Amino acid sequence: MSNLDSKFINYKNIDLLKRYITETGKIIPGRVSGVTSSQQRKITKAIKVARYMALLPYTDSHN
Amino acid sequence: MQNYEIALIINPELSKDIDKFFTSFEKLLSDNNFSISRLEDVGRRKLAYTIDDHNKGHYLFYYLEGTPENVSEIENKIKFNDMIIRHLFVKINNVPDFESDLKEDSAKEKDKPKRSTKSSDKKEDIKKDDEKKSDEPKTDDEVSKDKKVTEDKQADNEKEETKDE
Repeated sequence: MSNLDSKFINYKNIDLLKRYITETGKIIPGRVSGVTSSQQRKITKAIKVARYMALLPYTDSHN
Repeated sequence: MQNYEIALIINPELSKDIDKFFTSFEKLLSDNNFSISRLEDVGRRKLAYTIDDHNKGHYLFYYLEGTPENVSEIENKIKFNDMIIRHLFVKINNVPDFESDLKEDSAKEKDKPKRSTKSSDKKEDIKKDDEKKSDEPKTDDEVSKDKKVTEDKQADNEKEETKDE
């Protein structure tokens, strides 16, 4: 979890963020992902921004 | 002064004319007293979903220093620029001194299709071989099937004829 330095929780770091979404593109809840609540909030925001910039999918059934 | 980051997705069909875009956009920035700390040109990348019928986009990340009053001016210009299919303007505390991993990703993606095309070529070759191999027995089968079909039709016709009688 050393990778979860707040410096690395960024919408461009999609390799990290991909670990916190399910196959269908949903954000894995904090109680399941096991990260601290502060990290979970940052991850959630970063995933949502990455989705807007088409770096991550909203769902697995686009188009 | 405040640090900003602009993320842009450029129309991939126009990425050949990217130099023109750089000059015009950087002029717009300098006109609004924004200084460019760093520019990251990720290049063409596959989009996670289609935007305005585009499957690919040319990603650019500008790291800027400027005053908040001029932000809306630039956002307005971005909105009415047809080359930009999506943009994101964010305030940041520090300009990151490292490149994002996206560039490596797009490089990988460039490699991947090459590999896949090669593999697909091989597959096609195999398929062709299969077709050649399968052609010989199939043709016989097909011919026999055709014969059967014609025979059946003839039989049907005969039946119909008998009914008519």
